[in-house]
Amino acid sequence: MKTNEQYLELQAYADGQLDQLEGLPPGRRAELERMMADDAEARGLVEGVRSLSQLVRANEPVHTVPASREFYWSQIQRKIESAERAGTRAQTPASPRGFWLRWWLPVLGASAVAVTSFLVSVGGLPITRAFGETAVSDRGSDSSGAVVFRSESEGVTICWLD
Amino acid sequence: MNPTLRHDYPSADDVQLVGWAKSGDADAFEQLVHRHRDKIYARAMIMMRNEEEAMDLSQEAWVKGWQRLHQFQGDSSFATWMTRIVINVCLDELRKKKRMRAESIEEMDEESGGVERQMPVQLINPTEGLEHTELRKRIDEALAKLSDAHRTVLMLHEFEGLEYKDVAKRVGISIGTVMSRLFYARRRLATLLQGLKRERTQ
Repeated sequence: MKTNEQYLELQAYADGQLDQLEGLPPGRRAELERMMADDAEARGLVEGVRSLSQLVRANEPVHTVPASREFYWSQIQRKIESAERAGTRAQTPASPRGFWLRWWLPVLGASAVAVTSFLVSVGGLPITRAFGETAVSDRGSDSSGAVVFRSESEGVTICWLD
Repeated sequence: MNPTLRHDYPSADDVQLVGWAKSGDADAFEQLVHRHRDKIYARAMIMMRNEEEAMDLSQEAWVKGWQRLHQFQGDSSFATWMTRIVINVCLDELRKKKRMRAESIEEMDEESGGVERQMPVQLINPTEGLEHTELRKRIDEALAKLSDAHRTVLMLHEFEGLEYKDVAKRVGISIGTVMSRLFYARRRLATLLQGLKRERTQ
């Protein structure tokens, strides 16, 4: 019976990998060779590893794609195109319109709401005065506190909830 | 994928096809896929042991191959380069599904150094007289019975011809673990093939 280390070293010897083992004491190779000369089990292990290795390498399993050439390729092509589209989307800078919609529209909207709030709360101005003559205002009931502003010329309606 | 000038793809060698594919010729790449698809699929199949996964991952490897084609310098053959890609894709998948760890108490014992308590590798012509195709089939069946972790190490060493240190690097384990997994895989494979011999002599 050998030690775990000896089995693994004999395997490494059979595989021609002994030199790769770090910390292998000098003269270990010669020791293993002596062991193989004297011990049938050690010799059998090395021969067994080599014959199994040879057998497996010479008979690598074969598997064929279970799909036609056209079908297999069409799926790959679809995946490539989808990956390219995703990559393009990630890399392409936003169009001017997209940039405007993404960044400036919310900023302008928020500013408009802030200005409206300021004018109404500080100045107590009727909404009509705040937005000039073109504005049509409708003050909601005091209990709800809702204010609706509609500009016909701008085609805009703003609803402000207090 | 841009439409490009058509060449005589079936007669061209891999180097020519790779050159055309690098300049965006999808038909040249399709020819490469057609030539090597079975080998790439077989690698995925040996590793994953599942037809659907092997199909999906082999296709993913081809997508990566197309995307990274500019990195291929021709230091190895195109087939070797693609094989490396499919193995990495499968390794990633196995890791993602946590299929690369020791799966049983027996395997954990083996990984912590229990091989001396196990029967050493012995093989006395267990497959003598079998037809080549039948032999391949039997070896494949035996490989399927190994755990993913053991089969992967065995495949990288035997089929890819990687040295212990390269197997360790690819899988992300120590050389010691490579050695014990390889030993266990061989012992189990030898036992399974011995069973085949007994089955045939009965």
